Formats: sequence, C-alpha cells, structure tokens
Amino acid sequence: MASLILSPAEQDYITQGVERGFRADGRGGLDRREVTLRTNMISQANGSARCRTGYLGAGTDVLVGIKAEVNSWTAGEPEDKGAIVCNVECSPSAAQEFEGRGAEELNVELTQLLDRILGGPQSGIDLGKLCIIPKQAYWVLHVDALVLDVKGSITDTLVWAARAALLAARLPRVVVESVADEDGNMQSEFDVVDDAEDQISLEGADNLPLAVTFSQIGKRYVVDASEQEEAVAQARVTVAVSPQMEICAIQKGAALRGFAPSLLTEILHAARTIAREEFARFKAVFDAANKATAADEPSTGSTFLGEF
Amino acid sequence: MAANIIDRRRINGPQRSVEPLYTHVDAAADPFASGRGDGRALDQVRPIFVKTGPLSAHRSESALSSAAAASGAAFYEQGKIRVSCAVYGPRQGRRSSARMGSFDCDFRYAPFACSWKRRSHVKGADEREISLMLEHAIAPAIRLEAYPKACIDAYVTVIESDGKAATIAAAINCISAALADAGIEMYDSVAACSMGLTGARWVADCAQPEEDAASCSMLIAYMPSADEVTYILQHGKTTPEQTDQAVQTCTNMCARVYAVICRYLQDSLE
Amino acid sequence: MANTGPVTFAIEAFKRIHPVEFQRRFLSQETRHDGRAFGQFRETHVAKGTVSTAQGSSTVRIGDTTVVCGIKAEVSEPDVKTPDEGYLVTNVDLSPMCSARFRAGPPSESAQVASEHVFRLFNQNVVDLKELCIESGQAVWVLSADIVCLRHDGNILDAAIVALMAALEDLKLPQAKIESGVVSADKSTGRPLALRRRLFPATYTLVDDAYLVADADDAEEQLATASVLVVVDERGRVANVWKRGAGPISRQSISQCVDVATGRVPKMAEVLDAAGGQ
Repeated sequence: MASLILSPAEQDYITQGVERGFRADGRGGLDRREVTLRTNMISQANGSARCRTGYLGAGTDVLVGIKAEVNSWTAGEPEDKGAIVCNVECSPSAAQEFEGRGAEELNVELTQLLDRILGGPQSGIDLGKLCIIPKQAYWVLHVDALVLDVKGSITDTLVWAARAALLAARLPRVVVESVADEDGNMQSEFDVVDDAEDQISLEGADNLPLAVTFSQIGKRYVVDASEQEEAVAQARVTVAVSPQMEICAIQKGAALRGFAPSLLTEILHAARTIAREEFARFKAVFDAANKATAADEPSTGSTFLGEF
Repeated sequence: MAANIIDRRRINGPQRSVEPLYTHVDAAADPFASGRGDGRALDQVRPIFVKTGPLSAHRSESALSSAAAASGAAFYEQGKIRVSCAVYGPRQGRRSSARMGSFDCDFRYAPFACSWKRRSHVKGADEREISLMLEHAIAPAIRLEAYPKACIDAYVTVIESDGKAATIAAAINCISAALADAGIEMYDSVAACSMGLTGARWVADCAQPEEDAASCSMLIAYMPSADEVTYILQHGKTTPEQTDQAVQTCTNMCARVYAVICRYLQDSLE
Repeated sequence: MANTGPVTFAIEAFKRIHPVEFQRRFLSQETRHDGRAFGQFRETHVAKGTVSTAQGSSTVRIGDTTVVCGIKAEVSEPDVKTPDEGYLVTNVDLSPMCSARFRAGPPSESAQVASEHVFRLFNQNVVDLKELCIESGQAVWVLSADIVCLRHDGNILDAAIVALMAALEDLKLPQAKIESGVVSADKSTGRPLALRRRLFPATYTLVDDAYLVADADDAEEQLATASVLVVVDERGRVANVWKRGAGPISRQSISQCVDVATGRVPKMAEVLDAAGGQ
C-alpha cells in the first residue's frame, strides 16, 4: 500500500480517534465514502466501468474493461467451461512509489485477489454458459483493471468496478450449427453474430460478490479506510460476500500484526451487515450510471470524464 | 512472449513439449467415497517431520559455520510434501533509513515439484503471489522493530508438493522453524494449517486429489501463544457458519502443528 | 601491560578472519580441517525414487552437500535433422537457498558450467537418444532433469553427476503410442531406460597451490587454484578428465587421481545399487 509517512502525533490522533469511534473525515467506524460510478464508456470493450470512492481528486479511482475473446480448446483444459482472466495494474501516476517497478508487488496481490473472487464458481457467473462448443471453443473474459488513483481501500473499489463492468458487459450472440464433413461425420461449427443490437448479458452476473475490507486500528476496526488510516492500520482483511450473504473469499493483506480469532468472527458478522447495505447502494448507483450512459449517447470524451 | 526467448544460460529442450495424455488414470470420482485415501481421520494432519540446520543426520564435527552457511535453515516434510528453507539475516537492508527491519521471502517450486507439467524456470505469477503471502503470514511474528535498517531474507524451495494450500502451509511452518534456527527475535512461532470443504464437511490438510474435489479451501496461519491469526485465505464459497467453524477448527489444528514444531525445536537444543 | 603470551582466538573467529592461514595450519600438518586425510572422500549417500511427482528421482548427499534430482518425461516433436532422437535436458540449480554465495535470478556462472558439463557427460554417452523415440519424425520423449541443490558444501559436480545417474536408473518411462497426432501413455506400465554406461565421478582440488585434496568442501574450495574432475565408467574406462584453473598439477598426480577414481568404482557401484528405490 501507499507508504505514507505520518508523524507519531498524527498516528496517535488517528488511533485514539478510531478507538473512540471518530474518524478524521467525520465518518463513523463502519461508514463508507461516497461512490461515483460510470459504465460502458469504452466503446471497444464488451463492458467497462469506472468507479471512484471518495471525492473528486481525493479518491481511489479504478477503471475496468472487459474484453471477450474466443479461444480454441486444447487438451488439459476443462471441457465445457469458459474462463475469466484478471489483470490489475496500478498506474505510475497514481502514487509516487508506483514508478518503475514499484507497483509490481501490489499488482500481483490485487490480480490474485480479483482472480480469487472472479475466477471460479464462487464468482456466481455461470462458466458453463461461456462454453461455445465443448472440447472446441469457449469464451475467455479478460478483466483488465487500471488503478488510476489511490486514496485508501483499493480492493473494495476494484471489486465494485469489476462487478459493474461485468454486469454492464454484453457478449455477441453465437450460433452453433452441425455440419457434415467429407466423411459424413457430424461436426459442430459456430458463428459469432456481428450485431451490436443482438447481444446478451452474462448469465449469473447478478450473483457477483462485493468486497468489504476491514482495517484494524488500535483495538477497533474500520471499513473503507482512508490513506492515512491505512498507514497506521495493524492488520487488513478483505471479505468478499455474495448477494446471498455467502462468504466468497477471505484474504488478509500486508500488515504489521495479526489479529485475534474472536475479532475475525466479529468481522465476518459485520461484513454481512455492511454487504447488505452495499448491495442496495450498488444497485442504486449502477442503475443511475446506466441511465446516464443511455442519455449521453453517443459517447464522447466528456462522457468519459463525466462526474470525474 | 517471454517463453519464446531462448535463455542461453540454461540447457534448453525443444520449444514446446507437453505431457502425454495419460490413459488408465485411476479416476476416483470422489476421493472421500470410502474414507480418506490414506486412512486419515477427517481432522488429521499428515505426519510432520522437521529438521533444522544442515541436512545430514548429525551435524558434522566441523560445527564451525562457514561464512557462506545460512543463518538458519530448515527442512520440513508433511506427508509427501517436502519443503526446504534457508534464512539469512539480519543483514544490511536496502533502505538504510528504515525504522523497522524488513522481511522478504522468495518462494520457488522445483521444476519437478508438481504432479502435472514440468514448471518453467521463469518465476510464475503463482510463485510471486505465494512469496507475498508468506511475507504477510510471517512478518507479524518477527520483532522487526528490533532490526532497524536490516533485512531478513527467506528462500524457500518446494521439492515436492501435494495440495496447493497444504504446501503453502508447509512453507510457513518451514520458515518458522528456520527463523528459530537463525535466532531471529520473534513474538511467537507461526504454525499454519489448511482445510478443504467437501460437501458440508471440512477436511484437514488435503492432498492434491482431495483438494481438486473440494469446493473451497481455507488456509490459516496462527500464533497460538499470542492468540493471533497472522494470515487467512479462503478460496471458494461457504456460508458464514461454515467459515466460523473452519476458523475454529483450523486454529485448533494450527496449535497441534505448533506443538510438534516446538517439541522438535526444543529437542534440537539438547 | 606487557603481554608476552600467545594471542588466543576463538577458533571460529580465526577461521573467519584468516581463512587461508587457518587452512594452512592443517594442511602443512598433512591433515584437513575436518580431520580427513588428503585422499579421503566424504561418504556418499544415495536414495532413489524420493520425489513421487517426477518420473525418476534421487537424493544424493556427500558430506553436507545435498542435491535432489528429478526427471520429468514429456513428449515433443523431434528435430528435423534427427527424426528418431529424443531430448535430454539437464540443468543444475544453485539458488540462494543452498548457500549465501548465490544470488536469486538467472543461473550463476558456476551453475551454468555445471549444467553444461553434466549435459555433455550424459547426452548420447549415457542416454541413447534413440531410446527416447516414440514414433520416428512425429513424437519423442523429452527428459528434463533438474538438479536442485539444497545445501552447498563443496564438490557440487560430483553430487550432480551421481544424482543424475541415480535418477536415470530410477526412471520409468510409460508405454506410449501415437494416435492421430495425440500421444497417449499408460501410467501403470513403465520400462526402465536402457543406459549405455554408468559414470562415477571423483574430484580433486588443489588448495593453496600446493596441496591436492580429494572431495574438497566449501571452505577448501574457496582457496582452490585448480581442480581435476575424473569420470570413469563401470569398467574402469576413463570417460572424462577435466582440469580447471591455472594451478599446477603434475602429470603423476593426475594419473594417480585416475587410478584412485577407478579404484573407487566397485564401492560407488555398491552405493548406487543399494539405493534400490521404489
């Protein structure tokens, strides 16, 4: 994470504040910052979203693009499933220490986290539906995220943006037909329908989880930590929760200390309460973003910037 | 692609080679159909063997460590899993102004360590991630404030793996033992344990076929004396109750693993 | 205060501060710092079949030097020039895990030298590449032998050669056939690979330009000015003599080395056979 250097007095101020239930920006311990969302502003991508947590110029900003590709099946891969491949990159402009190879470790950590949430059945997306012809061809969804600005709580924003992009993504329709070859054997062939109007959304994208990251500061914990709070946090745990309130992934991040197992139970409980609110908030923000996109068509540079 | 560049510093085989398609694979549909393959109980960890210091059965009489010898080393076995680790440090760190020491970890699989295709010599994304995970799991145990401006490096090589989560857990245990051997100041030793969810049951320390059949895996690193979880990783979907149960069982098992490692470390002092 | 008594050092400090002088004290007394005689080798321990994820494997320990060799068998298309020959790929890995002398990343010079030399010794000399053919011009076996050093305490070449020899003897190649471009193999059947000969290595090191010692450990290698590797086969024929470094070694000494290496063969063969495996 961003290596912000705070003086002992500043650290003490944040720690004591959190232990008494106050945060520097006026939020309570479990309050989240405001989220701004835009969807489908990249016309070449199958789906895209840009999500910012916090205020203009002082928030964490993540851009996610979804690109679908047809892959031919090779031996050893699952026979009747598609795949989701994630890649996260932190822009060198997001923070000074990301210059050169500085962001390498963080890139690996975030990529694997996103992969862990989206890459399997726990994502809720029906990977079987991404198969075109078993043992022949399948869809690969490339989820590419670019972190444009970092002001704390990257993981939550990243998963928000990825969820929005996948929900907004549309795949071309594929027509599969059986053709007899010279020897009279039936062979399956497929055609990708090139029609922007005739596209389908991803099956099961409604079940995609959201992530809640808890930072332990002093004896208490907060969610959606700011940059300053992350600098003093002793431990960080990300919990991904599905709309059905199942736990999809848990991962602890870099930290100075561990935490007591009892705190973990408490966090799991809190994660569900927060996730329930977050899903409601996501729906509102996402619907608003979609409406905005429809109204602003055709997309121009100003749509892309929009409220950013 | 990096894979297409020929590395003249190594002996290279053909550009592309694949595993043959193995027929006659004893494809047991459910490895848990009739208990566990190796007759273990559901909450039983595979037998553990730890050894610190040089690998020979008894330290050679020249116990004088040469300059090149690691500050600490350990060899760890858990069933078929074999992990070897060397720890160097505390030594000169890269950032000379750091208030606290740093702990870095380099995790590698030997090219033949996995049951599937041979691994390339190029460091894979999974190895990078596991290196990070090990750093996150171990660093909370080390008194880094006692080593300003210094760094401690751990190099881990997996000689044989059997279950990914279990292998990572073994690597954590191995580093813990090596750190103790190196005499690094720690709050407590970290012990790690993994579990897999099959149906509605949690199964401890899954071997590869068991892990492949499991719908979710859980890895916990725990310091029993300090009662602190230093790392947790859940991969797959569960209900919150199942996660709660897993955390409880897993920390209990970590405590058992911890007892084995500590007993060994105590014996090695005599 | 006039202290006329001898300066006393902790022996460990002496070894670190004056490694050359430390070794000389021993060597000038016709002995070595670990108590061995000049011509004495450390005991070699071999275990076969130690890694179940590899088709052939072995673990070899010479003193504190420990290496693991694993062979993965995969299939590939043969080279156009040699349609009925497979591949043998040997790599020696010296990572920072085995000794502080090595850096992480691409192989060091010593690792490259070891890989290359082991490759030259075994390719075609021990392994008949025609034995690795599945279907001429279509599919052949690729044997990737990786020798990973766990602890480095000198004489890595001997350890690597013994380990690869043992792993090749342990190797079971599954029965393979090719059908419409796909190679399938039966995991339950395996045949051992016929090897042309067995190799037995012996390394001598010239320490401090004056003392020729057998099977040097790490501390002695640091002061080495030359070394001779003698490799003989099971019938006592010399397969390879390799002198490295500029230090002078007399012709008599070299032929003595060859004699001793030949004399060790029955004992070493016994060690290899006793390793059994599986």
